[in-house]
Amino acid sequence: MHIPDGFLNVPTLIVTQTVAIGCIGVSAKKIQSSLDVRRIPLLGLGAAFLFCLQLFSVPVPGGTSVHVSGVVLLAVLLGPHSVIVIGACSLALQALLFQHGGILSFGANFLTITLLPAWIGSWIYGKLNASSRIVALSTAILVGKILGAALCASILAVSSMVPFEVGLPAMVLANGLGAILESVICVGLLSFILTHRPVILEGTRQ
Amino acid sequence: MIPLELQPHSVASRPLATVKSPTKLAMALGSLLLLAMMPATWLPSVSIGLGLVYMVIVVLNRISVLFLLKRIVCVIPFVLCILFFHYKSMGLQGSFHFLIRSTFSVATLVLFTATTPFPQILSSLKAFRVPHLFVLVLALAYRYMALVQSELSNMHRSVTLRTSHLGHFERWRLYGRMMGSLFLKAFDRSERVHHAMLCRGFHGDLN
Repeated sequence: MHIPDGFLNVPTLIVTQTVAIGCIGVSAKKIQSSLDVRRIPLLGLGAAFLFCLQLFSVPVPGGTSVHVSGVVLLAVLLGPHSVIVIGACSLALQALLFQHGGILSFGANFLTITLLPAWIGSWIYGKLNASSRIVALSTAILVGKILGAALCASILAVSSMVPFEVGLPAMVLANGLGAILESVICVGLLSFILTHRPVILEGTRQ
Repeated sequence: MIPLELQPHSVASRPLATVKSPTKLAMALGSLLLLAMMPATWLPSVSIGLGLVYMVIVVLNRISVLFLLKRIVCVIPFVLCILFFHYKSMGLQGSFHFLIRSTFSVATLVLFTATTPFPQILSSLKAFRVPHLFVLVLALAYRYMALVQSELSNMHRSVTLRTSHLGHFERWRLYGRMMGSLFLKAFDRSERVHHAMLCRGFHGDLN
């Protein structure tokens, strides 16, 4: 659910933009200080791959569609800090090239679509992956995506756009549907990588 | 799968393409801020003023009106959805205000990207102090997006040809494995890209 420009009021824009830019700044510092040059092309191709993954979508009644976001998966595959860079770049590309989302509402979209799902998701995955990676990944996707939807609903409510008691169930329902689709695809993806190239996952464990 | 249509209109020779790109980004940000912050009493003057300016930009740069309208129409379902909840509390004027604000914001973004080729967008981001890592990743992502997407559409076509007997759920699972293969391809490609960058003298200088 990308919030377009012109939907949020000024205080909400300022708060979300500040929090988002702060988080991006911290992440960028952390990643730049420890970055292996080899990872830069990987981040770029990761963003291109994320863009392709997001082409999978299911239509939702009401004229829009929910699509796979893929950030939790990339957080598992490439690490939570890399996914901040990749997610921010892919959101910026979508806003600039396809006008999904916007520049002023970039912060709000970043928090709801990338940051919260990626961090919550990788935390849950870290807790659960000892037992079963598949269960861990699908739980992480479901929880991350639904919490992101709840945050999106509350941002819209704070901006007095959609009342919370209407926005929350609608968003959570739509994103829950999207999360089921996403976990089916991502579980297939993860098990493919586990059988064919488990080295990639070991590399991110450290 | 939709065909990828990156910046179909940005051509370097059109009038607005000669304006420096950081200035253009500042102008776009300025209009977005104006739209976000304008009080209701400014509505007529702002909408007429910006409307005229945008019309001039469209005509001078020969941007397809159909393309602009198509992008604006994408935001209409969200707008209607919100008006559905708030029509009573916002009233006619408030609803109109919201409609103008959201459609003009989309138009601003469309016009900015339609008059600015991507390398210039990147240099304007650099001028706005966006960390170099992000600019580099954006440049790589933009360059490889079409390539990765065409790989995906080839794989998608061959999967579709071979799996007419599968049900929905099985097909989605298959798509998962297909995306896994696509991820591995992108991963391997990133290593080749890294080697090529080293060959051309890239030292990992991020400043």
